[in-house]
Formats: sequence, C-alpha cells, structure tokens
Amino acid sequence: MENEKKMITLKSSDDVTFEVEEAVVLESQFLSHLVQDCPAPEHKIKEVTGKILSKVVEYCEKHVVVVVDGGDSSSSSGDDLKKWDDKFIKEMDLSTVYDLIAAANYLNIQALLDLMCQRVADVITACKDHKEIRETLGIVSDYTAEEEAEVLKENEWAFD
Amino acid sequence: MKRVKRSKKQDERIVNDPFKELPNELNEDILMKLPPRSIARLHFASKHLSSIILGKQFTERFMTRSSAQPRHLVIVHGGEHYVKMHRFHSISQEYPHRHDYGCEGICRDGLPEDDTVQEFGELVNHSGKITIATLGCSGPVDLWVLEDVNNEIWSKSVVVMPSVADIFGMSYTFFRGMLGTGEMILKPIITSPEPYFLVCYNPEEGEFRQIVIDEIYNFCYESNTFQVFFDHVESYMVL
Repeated sequence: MENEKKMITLKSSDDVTFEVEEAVVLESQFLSHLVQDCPAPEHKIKEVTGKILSKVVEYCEKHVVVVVDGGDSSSSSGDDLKKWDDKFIKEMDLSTVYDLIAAANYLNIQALLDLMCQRVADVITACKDHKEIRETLGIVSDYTAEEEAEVLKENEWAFD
Repeated sequence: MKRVKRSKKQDERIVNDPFKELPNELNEDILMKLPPRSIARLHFASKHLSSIILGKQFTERFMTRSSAQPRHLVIVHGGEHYVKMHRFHSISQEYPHRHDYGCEGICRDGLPEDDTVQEFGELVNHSGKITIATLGCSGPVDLWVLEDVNNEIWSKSVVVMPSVADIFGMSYTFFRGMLGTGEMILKPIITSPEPYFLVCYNPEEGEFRQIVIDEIYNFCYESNTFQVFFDHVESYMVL
C-alpha cells in the first residue's frame, strides 16, 4: 500500500522544489486540474515563491492527513486541527498572510483562503479606531485633513 | 481563478496596505469577516477603502448576507418619563428558512366584526402578505391573511400550539410578532422574568425554543421598558 503513493514535485517561482504526495496536491483545486491535465512529474508554479509555497505545502499536508484518516481515533481531531491552524497563523507576519491569501486564491484552496482572510479581519477587529488600523496595516491615508474631519463628524456613531 | 498581481521586489517589501495589493474580490472576502463597526472604521482609514466599502458590489454582497441572517434588536428605555439609556442588543436567529401553512379556514370578504381581531390583532408580515394575528388566552393563533388587496379577500388559518404553560411555567402570553422564517414570537405577560426571555414557536416543526436575553437582566429596573424588533438586518451604513 505505502509504495503505491504517487509523489509529485512542485517547483516555486524561485526554483525551490517540494516533493509531496498526490493527496496533498488535491487540496488545491488548481493543482488537481493541473495534475490531471498534464501528468508530468514536476510542476512549476510561477506565481508562488518558495517561502510561500512551503507554507502552503505545510498547511495542505496537515489538513490532508485528517481527511484520509478521518475514521482513525489517533489522527488529528477537529479541535487539534484548529489549534494547529491558530499556531500556524500566529507565527506568521502580516506580509506573509497577504502573500498566502494571494497564493490560496491562485491555487484555489478555499479553507486556507478563509483562514488567512479571518486572520486579517481579526487584526482589524482588534483595532480601536481608524488610526490604529492605519498603523497596524500600513495604510496611507489619502484623505485631506478637512475631508477626514468631515467624514468623521458625519459618522460619530461608530466611535462610542 | 483570477491571477493576483504581485510585487516583484518580494523580499524588500515592507508591510503594505493589503487592500492595494490584493484584488477587490479578495478585499471583499476580508471585509465580509468583519463586524459592521470595524467596516465603518476602515472606511475612515483611506479613500481607497471607502470606495470599496461604499461600492455597489460590496454593499450588495453584505446586504444579501444580512437579509438571510435576520436578528432580533432589543432596545431598553430607562428612566420614568424620558429615555435615560438605550441599549441595543442583536441576537442571531438560528434557523432561517421559509414555509407556508395550509389554509385551514374559510375565505370571506373583509375582516370579521370581531373585537379580538379589531382590537387585539397584531399586524405582521406573513410570507410577504399583510396579516393580522390574534392569540386567544393560551389558545390557538388565528392568522387573517390579506390574499387579495383590491378585493379585500382574507383567508383564515389557525395554528394550534402546545400549551406554553406546561413548558415554560407561564400561563399567559402576548403574541408579539412573526419572523420572516414563519416562526412566531410570544412574550410572557409577567413583566420581568429573570432572565428576560421570549418564546419562539416554529409551526412547521411544532416546537418551541426559548430566546434568552441575558444582558437585559442587568437593566431590569421597574421603570425600564423594552422594545423588541424582529427581522432586524445589520448594516455598516456610513455616510
């Protein structure tokens, strides 16, 4: 059984290679189609760097185990997986999160996309006002001082 | 899937406005995970964000979801003759779905000259039709549905529910309203049960569920009054 597992090599834009089981690749709808349509042993993913692809592979490997061994009591349960997800995102800086959002979107991995979008949303929700949001996310305001004063005055309800 | 534009100077890049790096579709995915208040705050962060938030596409997406998840809005008025305090509390409704009852009654022209209907009837929206609902003392709920506005044709359905007294230990209830899901909201006549609760009856399942409003308990002074609005839709309205 073990030796029947088909291995596939993914190559990032900066030529870092990852050898993964086919089941891991199937977590991505984009890669599933790619592997089906073009049965080459190696696939270059020009849109994703090695740093980000390593995170994607790490995520997919963790999540694929749960699906395959779903009935096995020794495998990760839903709670464990959630804890793993929490740790996975907490160790990441925001810049990596944005890159992973783009990568998850490109590779079509919905669960990873949701997880990363939720991370950004949580960071924003924790901010007490728009100034803190700007600082945290590095947003440069394009309001003039007058425009900002006006828009804030009209929407005082959001600040109580 | 759309291809995402990426910065070439990947490693030199400092943390930048994610909303300028990501395509709008993904920006909206992030916004959809935010509470309305945070969306409003983002609107003040930059004009670029404001344009996404006020844009037709996001507005429609947000409102479509909100309408599918209506909430109860509870307002507490404090003080005796003036509004001392407003407290808003939204509680999500768990089972959004729609259905119709079979018409059990007869159709006739106009409403009956019945005091119960005329005086104690509660105007509700039943599957988009104007309806007058009346609840007799622990009896069934009569629904008078205006089937044809021009010809004033009303139909009557009767919804018989199990005894509320047996389940919740209260003998009398007010009919308070009806949700878009077809569920009926009953309010105990006792003025301040602890904790404050409403009862929701689902005629399709024939089951009650209790909606406990925990936080309201802290505001249960005798002079306070409550107002409950159903099918409240959340909005991040900013100007």
